[in-house]
Amino acid sequence: MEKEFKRITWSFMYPHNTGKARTCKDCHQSAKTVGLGYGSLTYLGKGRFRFTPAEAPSELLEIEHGLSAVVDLSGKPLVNFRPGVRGFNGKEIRQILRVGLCLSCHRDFSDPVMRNWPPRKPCPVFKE
Amino acid sequence: MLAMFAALIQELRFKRADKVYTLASGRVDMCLACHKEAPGKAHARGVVGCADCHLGDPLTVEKKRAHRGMVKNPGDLRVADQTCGRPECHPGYAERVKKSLMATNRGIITTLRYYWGEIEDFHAEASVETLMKTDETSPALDYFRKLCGTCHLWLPKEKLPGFLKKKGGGCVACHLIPGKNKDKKVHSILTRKIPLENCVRCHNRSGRIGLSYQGLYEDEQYGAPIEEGEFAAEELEDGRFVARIPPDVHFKAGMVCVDCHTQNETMGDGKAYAHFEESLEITCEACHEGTGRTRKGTLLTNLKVKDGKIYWQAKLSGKELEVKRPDPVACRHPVHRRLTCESCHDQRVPQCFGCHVRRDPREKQLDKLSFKETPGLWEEFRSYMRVEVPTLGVREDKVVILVPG
Amino acid sequence: MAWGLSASFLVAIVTGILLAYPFNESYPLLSTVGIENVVPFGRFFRRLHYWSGFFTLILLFYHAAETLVAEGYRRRDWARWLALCATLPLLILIAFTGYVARGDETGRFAGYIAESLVLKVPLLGSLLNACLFLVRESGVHRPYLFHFYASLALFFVSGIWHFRLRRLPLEDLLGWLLAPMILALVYPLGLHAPGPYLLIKGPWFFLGVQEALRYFPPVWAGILFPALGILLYVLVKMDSLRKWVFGGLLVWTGVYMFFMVYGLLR
Repeated sequence: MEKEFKRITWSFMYPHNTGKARTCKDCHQSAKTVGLGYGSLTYLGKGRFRFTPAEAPSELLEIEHGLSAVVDLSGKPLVNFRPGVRGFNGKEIRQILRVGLCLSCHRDFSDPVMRNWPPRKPCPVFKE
Repeated sequence: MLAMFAALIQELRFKRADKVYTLASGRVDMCLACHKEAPGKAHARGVVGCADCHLGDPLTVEKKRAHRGMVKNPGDLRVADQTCGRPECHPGYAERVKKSLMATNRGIITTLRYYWGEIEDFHAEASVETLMKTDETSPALDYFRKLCGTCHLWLPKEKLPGFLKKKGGGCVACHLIPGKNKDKKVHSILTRKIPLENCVRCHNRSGRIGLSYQGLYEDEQYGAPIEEGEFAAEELEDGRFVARIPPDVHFKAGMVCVDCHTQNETMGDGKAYAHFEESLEITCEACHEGTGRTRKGTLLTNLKVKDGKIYWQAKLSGKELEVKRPDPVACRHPVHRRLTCESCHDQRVPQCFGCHVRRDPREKQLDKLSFKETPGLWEEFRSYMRVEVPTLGVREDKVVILVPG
Repeated sequence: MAWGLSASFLVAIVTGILLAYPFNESYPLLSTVGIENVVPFGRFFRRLHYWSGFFTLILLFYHAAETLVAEGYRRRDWARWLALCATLPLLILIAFTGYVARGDETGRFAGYIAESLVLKVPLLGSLLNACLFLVRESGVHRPYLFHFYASLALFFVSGIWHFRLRRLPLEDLLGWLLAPMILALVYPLGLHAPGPYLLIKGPWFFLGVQEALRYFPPVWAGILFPALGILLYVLVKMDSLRKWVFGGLLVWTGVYMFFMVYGLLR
């Protein structure tokens, strides 16, 4: 091998496979969707999460995260992005995933609580 | 005596026409004396002359003289301003198309060079036309020349071997469909109703949009299932195996690429853009909210609003399709105001993880722009391919789908 | 070389007359394409016409130069000298209008340019244009007429000079010109419009055959009967048969005239 360079760049696209919308859980409870990659999420309380990757770091390509990850939980980018594009930041990730915790009881917009959700109002059932 | 004899011989050998052939406009077109082909309604035989498109000399039936200066493919961008784009027919189109991204490939070239660290400017000038005329090269350009260089409008039709033969051709890359009688040698038909296949002939790699739209997925290429010792998976013309996934709802409704993608996007609007997203006009909202105008204000004439309902007249089938309005709660809820439609409505996207390429300098490979074998063979690899829930991210403060690449 | 000029001109005239028939000045390009591609030998005659015309022009230039060298102007009086000199621009105009008459792109644009130029001529501009071009208004009609008439005129006028074309006795010429002229002025010649006619007569000399066809089968009445007259006329040359043949011819003429008059009176 004379010369080589390694760089993973993510871009944006419209997949052209439009249909029924994804479910709420499909996004709000998915580590893959928010950009963490394949793996599982554990709620640690007080708005904090733990992400356990299901994908081993790609040793062959000498990177320390799975190929499916673009950011970590703090929102730190792990890959390059096409100019003008970024992954979610830490705050966005936490906000999205926080809604995921509500979805077990308030499944979707058919629930009046979801429709008129007061962001500041604490949940009487769920203990932060 | 000898001269008279020669004149007699010449006369006997000359195949005279039975009459002077004229077009509907009264212009002479002697090509019709020998040629019986008909290139479809829009350019009907006897209305548009053969030489109007194919050049040559329409005033003689002497084969050699008539065929001098002829072009087999009038759509070729090298001649298009004298043929398709001539002042009497489609003036200005050739110039527009030449500036469009499908002709320049500026987006592909610039992105590639930028990603590979060869240039700093993401909006740099670049065009296939220049690369074809010069020997300009670099690692990214060499890669482009050998692997990407088959999908652009400057490629002469039937120049490259195998399945690549059908690509390119300028105007006819899109506007030509096979003639009706498949057994005989018939003239292909020119059309504005561009079928899906014409677009997907090129738009089937990278984001694989042409495949996903039809419900095809280029999988891991095992060719499974194996039946009677043979790969039984569906196969594309280029040999890639595909599996079935649910197609796009618009595909199911009988819509094709040109239903959404307007002329200004596909043929260019006269401006030279650096990237696809700049030339893109269509939005989901243009139809689904019934505004009937693109991002740049182009009117969508096939959209009709009747009694509060929105209809789209499909361009190929002519059928009127009812257009669903966005869900008043889920789509319009303020918490989702940053979401693009596709971030929810596209459940899956092909994702090619760990894409990498290798250049072997000992081997040679065909440069698709100079049509010469040059040193350096490029091979493509990937770690794994998935059709899976998309990862989301942000662009211009909108939530969009992110993919590797 | 001077004879070459005349000969070339003659060839151009003859081929020109041959081409004039399939040519139609209302559809100049169409009929020229027809001459090239449809008319038997049309292509050959057109090229013959082109090249003989080409030689005529070239040889006239040569002839003009030769005359200067041989000091020919000394041997001519002013009237003749002017007339001879006039052939030069005349032939150039003839050749030029020949191009215009083709109606192809070369001719069309040559016509437009020439028309614009001619109109710039002071005083005579529009008159000259009416004689030569008028292409914007009426296509190649005028250039074609000029090409044809001027060629014939030049040929006969220069012919009297060059190959001793004998003039007819003037009184004969005038007399026989007068007769048709009077008839032409007095007797109107119409055309037969289409209509629901039950009877249409052919040309007067054909009426004998037309009438005979009413009574006899076509081969007899239409072929053998007229052929017999001609055959009898040919056989007059044979001494041994002459007497019989004369008789036969007389009878045949009588029968034909009878049929003809009968037909005329119908």
